[in-house]
Amino acid sequence: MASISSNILTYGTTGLGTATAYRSNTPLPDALSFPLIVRFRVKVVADASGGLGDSQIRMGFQAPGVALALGLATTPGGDRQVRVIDLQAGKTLGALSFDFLDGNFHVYQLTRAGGVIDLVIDP
Amino acid sequence: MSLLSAKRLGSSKILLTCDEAFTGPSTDHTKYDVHDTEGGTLGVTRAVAVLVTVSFGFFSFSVQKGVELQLGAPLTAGKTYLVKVDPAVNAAETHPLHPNPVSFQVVAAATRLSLRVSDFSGEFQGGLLGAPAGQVFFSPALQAANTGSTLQVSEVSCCLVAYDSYIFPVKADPAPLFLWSPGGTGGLLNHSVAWASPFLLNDFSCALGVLHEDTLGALDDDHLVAVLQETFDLTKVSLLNNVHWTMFDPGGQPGLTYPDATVIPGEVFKTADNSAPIGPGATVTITLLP
Repeated sequence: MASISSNILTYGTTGLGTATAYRSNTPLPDALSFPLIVRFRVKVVADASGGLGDSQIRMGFQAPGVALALGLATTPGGDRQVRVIDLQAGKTLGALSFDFLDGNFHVYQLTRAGGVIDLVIDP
Repeated sequence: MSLLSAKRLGSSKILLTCDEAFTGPSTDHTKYDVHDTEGGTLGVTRAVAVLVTVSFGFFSFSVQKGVELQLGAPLTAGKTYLVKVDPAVNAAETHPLHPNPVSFQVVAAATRLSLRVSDFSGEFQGGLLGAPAGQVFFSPALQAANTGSTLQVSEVSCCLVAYDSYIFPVKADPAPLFLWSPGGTGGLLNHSVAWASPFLLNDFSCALGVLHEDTLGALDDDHLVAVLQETFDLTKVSLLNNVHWTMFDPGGQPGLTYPDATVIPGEVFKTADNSAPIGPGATVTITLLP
């Protein structure tokens, strides 16, 4: 389910939501020697877990050697996190505590440069 | 029975959790009070139950293990706050809550995370994200079927930064080197003192040289000229080779006298006409043609 209004794409799953993604192929991230900046400005409208678990919301990019997704989830202790997930291995490599479910748009910026990937929220 | 902890959630939310024995804290926000250590009150506007799923064999059920308090004012990083709970927060409990109030300090949350590219195991070669080219994506249900998550996307950008940069070389110590002369300006260098930072002095060398200049006329090619000059005037010394003449030492000849007993002075040979010394002879200038 997706709709566009005022240049904002609302994208969600209803019924039995299946694995789905909006993807855009671009050769840009394939150049290893240049810094790559990927930015998402996103607002979480609804969390399937009710703010108690993994929302299954993902966003990220693929580049040589990297299949990275940011996952928005809440720990059992109630800590809301933006997790950096290695999609190929299916494991979380790191996380930042951040209340992504506060009803506001936030910018999630990923920068790959010099063999390091930085995640910055609301730079 | 105890409250375990209070933790900041976002800028104006607090998560209050309980221990195993204490369940079902009230969602009546008037039973909670949050204030700072200086006496200021933030006010609690809302209390939301936090449920945790507990599994027991084949059974699982939800238990309320905490409340999320919505505050009337934002928390300030670095400050310490106290959460005071009304003892009647749970009517079924008869034991006093401990600790009460709960204190916690707001620590500024990190907003940056760095990972190495080598930490990742590779990119997809097949499936939903299998395009080999670089790819940007977002999804409400990517890794598993999911119902109910919705996100709004207002902007996605992917930028590859290509640039060239040149950094001008600079000295490690850009401070200038000074020369101080006790004689003021214009003094000699060997009376001056060079002073600067030790690093710069260690790197200091001085090359001195005399660079005085003179002006000459423009050089011009010309004939070579030979100037020949007779040592003596030949018109007056024609008899010098006569062995009958004697030359005396100009320094004088003590003990030698003329016939009239006068001492012979030490003089050069003189002519008879005017007693003047015999000067040089004629000069002949010969231009040597190329």
